[in-house]
Amino acid sequence: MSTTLQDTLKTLADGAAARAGRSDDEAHRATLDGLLGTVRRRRAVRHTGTAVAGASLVAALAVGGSQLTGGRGARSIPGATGPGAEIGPGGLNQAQQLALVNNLGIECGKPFTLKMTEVPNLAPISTIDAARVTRGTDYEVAVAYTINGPGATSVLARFSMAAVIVRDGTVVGFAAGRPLPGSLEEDDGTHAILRLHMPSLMNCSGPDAPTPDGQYEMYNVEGRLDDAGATQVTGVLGTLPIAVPDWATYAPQGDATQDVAPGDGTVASTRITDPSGALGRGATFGTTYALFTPPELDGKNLVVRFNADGSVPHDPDGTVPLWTSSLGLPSDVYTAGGFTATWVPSPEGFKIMKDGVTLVWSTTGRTPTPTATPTR
Amino acid sequence: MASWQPVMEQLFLNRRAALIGYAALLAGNDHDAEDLVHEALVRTFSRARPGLVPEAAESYVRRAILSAYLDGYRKRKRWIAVRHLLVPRAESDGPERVTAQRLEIETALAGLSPRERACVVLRYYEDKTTPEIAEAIGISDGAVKKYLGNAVRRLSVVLGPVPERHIEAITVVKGRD
Repeated sequence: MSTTLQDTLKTLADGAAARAGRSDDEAHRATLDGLLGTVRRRRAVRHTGTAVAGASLVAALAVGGSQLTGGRGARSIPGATGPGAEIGPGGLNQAQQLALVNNLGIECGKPFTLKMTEVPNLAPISTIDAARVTRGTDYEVAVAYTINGPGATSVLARFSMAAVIVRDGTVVGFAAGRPLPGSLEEDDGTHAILRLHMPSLMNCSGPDAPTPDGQYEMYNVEGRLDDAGATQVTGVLGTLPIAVPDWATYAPQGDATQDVAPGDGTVASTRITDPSGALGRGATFGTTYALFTPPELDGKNLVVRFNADGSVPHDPDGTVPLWTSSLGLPSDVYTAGGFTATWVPSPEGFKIMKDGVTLVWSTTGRTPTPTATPTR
Repeated sequence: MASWQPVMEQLFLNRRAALIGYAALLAGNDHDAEDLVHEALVRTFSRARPGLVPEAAESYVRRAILSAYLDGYRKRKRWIAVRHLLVPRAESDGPERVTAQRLEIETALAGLSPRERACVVLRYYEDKTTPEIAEAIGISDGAVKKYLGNAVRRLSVVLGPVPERHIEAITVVKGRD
């Protein structure tokens, strides 16, 4: 043996290192970028706890009080609609907005790398102006638009907005909203502010995954009608620092049925009285539904539907039907047992129970009519 | 930019080659070594480690390389057992590979079990003590001594008489310190 094992190992390692160093800088950079992206995705998953499971996991997070910064210059995303993305009089509904987002290839856990292009004539968002919390799961966003075409304000009034929530370059959630009635404020003929009600912020990883407070970015993806009534979709970039507190902040323990504030008749208010977390740790409330994500449903949502006037459909015995759903898929009647829901007459609402224990109580604030509404 | 990102970038750009060199001793070829390094970087930086500096990060990554190597071999044990029968060696022959002795050592290393190989690399390349090796691999001191003893014995068949510094390791095994 002319050399020791130690020397030979060193020579072997040095040789491998020398060969590794022969690649060009560009290749190294590309490899590094790929690794950084992988780390970002994994960190995003770790931030939110459970594994990212795509769009089937939908749940609400409370959005804390936020001060918004000015957005970036208005830009847009071309050609994002499909034939199924019908735009109604009030703009896209939430499911349509999310379909729009998915059409753009924006998915949970993926890097957010949109390629923006300018779209003439339509007034894009130039600045996200302000946001405030309205309820535990609701918030409003005021958006400033540049009016750069005739009829733009009438278009703005029909806007709805889908937003992508991004952290460290990775998609971690979505939100969607509609303009608040009469909220369009025209400034000097060149600028307008539109307030949007965004009923939920959807965490990619579900409600049981705590999302820490921190600096997130919110990118807007819009569906809109142009002046000729044709479907046109633009995406507009803006940023939004979001403080997302632990849901427990908004989930008081114990029976809160006596002190819950009533809803406004169109959007329910709720108190989660579920210390076990059996319903998950958050809820999404739309104008006609309340959505929970119990852990035992394995990512599916548990849904209660109510009417736009605040009435809650129920059987004569007070049973409120429960549904299960996954994002983008039709709902099914919940048949697995375990969870039950009952009608609460006044102020009208519902309770969800499990094994006789009330997990959540909600009211739409409506004074009900005496006649029960058949449900199925 | 997140605080971990510049640390990872700096480590990758400045220490990538050295890490691949280390990984190659374990993996036995350049391609697997590069994969090990990438996997180790992802493992290391996917976890929150406040205040991590590049120097400390390299230690984490080296440890992760070792873990990834041992984990990977556990998973691919059956394939590895027959791989040499089916797959020709893929790495290119650089000038540093030409000596017969080096090839013999590579062959001898390839004949070691993953844990034996890991122990050899940590002992003779990383210059770690028996307790340090035991801690790094997550096995007992006695097991390290056993693996080192077996490895050196098997390497001796290829390498000929084991130099004195290597005998020391075997003596340690026999002495049960």
